[in-house]
Amino acid sequence: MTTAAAVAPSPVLEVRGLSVSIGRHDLLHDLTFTVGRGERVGLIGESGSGKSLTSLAVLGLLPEGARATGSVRLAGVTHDVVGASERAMASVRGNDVSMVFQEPMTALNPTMRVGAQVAETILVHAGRGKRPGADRAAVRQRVVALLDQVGLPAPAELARAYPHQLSGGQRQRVVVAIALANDPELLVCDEPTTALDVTVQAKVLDLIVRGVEARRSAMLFITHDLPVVATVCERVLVMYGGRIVEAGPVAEVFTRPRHRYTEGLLGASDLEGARPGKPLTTIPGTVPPAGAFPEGCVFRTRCRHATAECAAPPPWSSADPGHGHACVHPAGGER
Amino acid sequence: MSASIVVQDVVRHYRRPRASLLRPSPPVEAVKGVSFEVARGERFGLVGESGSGKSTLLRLIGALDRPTSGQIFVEGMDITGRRERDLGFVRSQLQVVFQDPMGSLDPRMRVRDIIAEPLVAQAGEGSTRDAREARVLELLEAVGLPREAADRFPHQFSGGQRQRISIARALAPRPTILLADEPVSALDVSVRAQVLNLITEFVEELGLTLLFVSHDLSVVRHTCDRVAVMRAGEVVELGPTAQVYDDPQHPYTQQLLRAAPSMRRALRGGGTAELVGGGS
Amino acid sequence: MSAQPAGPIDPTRVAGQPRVRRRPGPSLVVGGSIVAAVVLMALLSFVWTPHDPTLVNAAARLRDVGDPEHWLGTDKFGRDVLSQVLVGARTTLFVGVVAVGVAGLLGVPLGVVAAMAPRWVGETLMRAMDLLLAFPALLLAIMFSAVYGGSTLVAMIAIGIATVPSFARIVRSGALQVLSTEYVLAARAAGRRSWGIGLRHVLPNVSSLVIVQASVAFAIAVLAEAALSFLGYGTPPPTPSWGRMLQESQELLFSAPRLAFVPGLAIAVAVLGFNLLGDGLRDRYDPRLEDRR
Repeated sequence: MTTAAAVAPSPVLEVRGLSVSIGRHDLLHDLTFTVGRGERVGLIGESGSGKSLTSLAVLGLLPEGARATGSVRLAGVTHDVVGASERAMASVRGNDVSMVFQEPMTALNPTMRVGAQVAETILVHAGRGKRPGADRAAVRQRVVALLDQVGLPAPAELARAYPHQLSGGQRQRVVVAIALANDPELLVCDEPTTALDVTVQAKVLDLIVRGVEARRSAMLFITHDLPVVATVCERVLVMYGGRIVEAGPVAEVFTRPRHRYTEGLLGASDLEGARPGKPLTTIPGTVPPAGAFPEGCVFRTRCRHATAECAAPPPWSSADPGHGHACVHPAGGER
Repeated sequence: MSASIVVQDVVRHYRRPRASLLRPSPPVEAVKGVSFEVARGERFGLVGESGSGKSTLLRLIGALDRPTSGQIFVEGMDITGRRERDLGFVRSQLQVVFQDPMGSLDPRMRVRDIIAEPLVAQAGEGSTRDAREARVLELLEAVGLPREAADRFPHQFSGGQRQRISIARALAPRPTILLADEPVSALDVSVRAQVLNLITEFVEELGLTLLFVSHDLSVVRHTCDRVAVMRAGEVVELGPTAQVYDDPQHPYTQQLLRAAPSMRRALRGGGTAELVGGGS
Repeated sequence: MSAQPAGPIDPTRVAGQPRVRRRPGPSLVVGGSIVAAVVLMALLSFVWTPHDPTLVNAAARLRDVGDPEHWLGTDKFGRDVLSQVLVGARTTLFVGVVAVGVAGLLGVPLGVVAAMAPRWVGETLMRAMDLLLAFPALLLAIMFSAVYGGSTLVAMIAIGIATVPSFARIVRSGALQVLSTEYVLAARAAGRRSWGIGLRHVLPNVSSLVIVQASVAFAIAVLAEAALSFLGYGTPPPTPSWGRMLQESQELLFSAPRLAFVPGLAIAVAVLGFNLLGDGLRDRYDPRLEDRR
């Protein structure tokens, strides 16, 4: 069997058996996935699916009191992210891996000029490893170049502005500039455009994709928006109840979904295909709060195809964690 | 058949807080001279981005705010320039479903009291506690919530369930017009379809006039017969939904439609460059 | 007509007011216990005290702490200190209830009105409150005592009036926050008039702020009563009061420091208790903290 992992060189991100629990709640359960060099992977999920927690775990930013097991390896980082010290992670974040958060207002320091914030990211990691030492003039030039790359008008003047003087879209561009400042191996985006207007979202998405492509960086893109993932990513992981329930290439998962949850999600969000005014297909019930998902298949309480078999945890359908599903009664017939 | 809602040259300015001691700040023009009519039983969409004035317009039509100039008629009655106590007619004819399923329900009230609020507020003769209770239970069933829900507080429900409570409250006084302000934009994808179906079902079965405000073009396309596209306080394009979506005339409408990510286009290989209009 | 069911109501979300039932914090537990102890002391004093607290007994003057008959000793008139402390707790509570009651009854409606009335009315009211706030509470109480005669009630009404602004301010800012919510908009759309919104939505939602403020004001009132009694403007003899006990102990401060120590400790602990309770309640009910999930 030739798996994707055997063909590709070592992945940029390799997550193996990652489980996270807080208190009595198991929030992530046995996640295994990889993101290859230059690959754009989408992580789809609704509230309570654990998608944001996954992104935090990848950056070693889990909240206090969270217990993580398993392993998270990043290319170029000798230690495992799980269990790494804050000190060890600080030199990794913003350097090997960086992140774009949802809220562009709170992601920037309101008391610092945006140019200084971009420069800080460069300076913090300057002189470490392969990076050259800091040279004020060079850094300033680089900051302006970065702001220019993210499409901000008059970048030299804009560098002296404070975050509140910028629009939401401009702020998110600055955040992207900061995230890309050190040419990270992996960019993690957590709902980066959810708070933005459609036309601004389009520009920011384009910017992120172009920035990542130019650097040959890999990207893990977290969102609840299926069309956005379809537009931005090549591969997709579908999460529900703290588990990956289906994974595969975007074109395949979104046209021939196997897991019943993926199928339901696609049906419920397919407003383009539904006849105007006619009822949409729905998934019954509501997403349980974190920690209240059923045993066995996490989706079985809302699944129309659930049987007694689903009370046991469904096995993954293939040997490749990057391509398959965990459903006993998959859509499109048994394989 | 007369129109259900008539909006005539409506303007709404806001005063910004003074930034300078010497001169007053220029006013914000949230809505600048908008006119349209919504026929009885029609489903009318208002689409726009933040700052387009769509929510301000909804509040003006809902008599929750006063226009700076212009007139608004609801079921033939001029609602502009009336005092709160003279708005009883509007309150009984027109109800609103708001965006935030948590913020639009008083956290200190039980669901029973929330749903009965319009009935209590508009209590005329013949409104007894028993009649209200019966109506509350009937509405709970209609929106797919169990009877026990009446005794609970809002925080005990998920987002989709809370939005059902909102809908039940809006339907309580048997209105003829329903205004919906981004009713599904805060909901999970899997729940959004349920709530949209619920709204369209009620609108159809009760013959309601629907004014649906959203930033999400695909939702409006699915829900509405006609649509007005708003930008910076003005309606830039107005027409039957299918026509506006298939053959947009105004450059802004074209830009808006192009910018919205679409599963179809993506699966056909359209990347982000297509969203911003590159490559063409 | 019936819709597709919305799924079960989540059983993990427990009935009750705040979103999450957290375990009460240490300040709530400690503060609550101290306040409960003061209340118990006051209640106990109605049915039992070791001795008549006002009984002058020349034979038992200035007994020391640990005396088999008088556990906390006696003062220069031979009155039992423990009995005085117990009955003094009554005065303390009375003082707090009156002052907080006056402040709350005036301050809460003022705050709600200032938030809901037209802008200029609200602004005028709040400037008047600022003026009152600038006036020292103790000075006001002394003036009241001078005009209406010194009594606990008069002093406490004065303290209460001086505390009105703090209630009005907190309630107004809370009410303004409530008034900007969508549920108030929804209530207006439902046809509620202003007074209905004030009663049904604003008041219940600022009640937690009021409770927190009340416990803090209670502590201030207790301290103010002690100060006034110490100065001779508060509780007149022979009613036992911790503040007056402190004052009477003055001349014997060097020969019998315990006479100052016992009521001083009682005041300090009670004030600490009410402050802790206020802090604890704030941690638990402050909506701004509650939203931070």
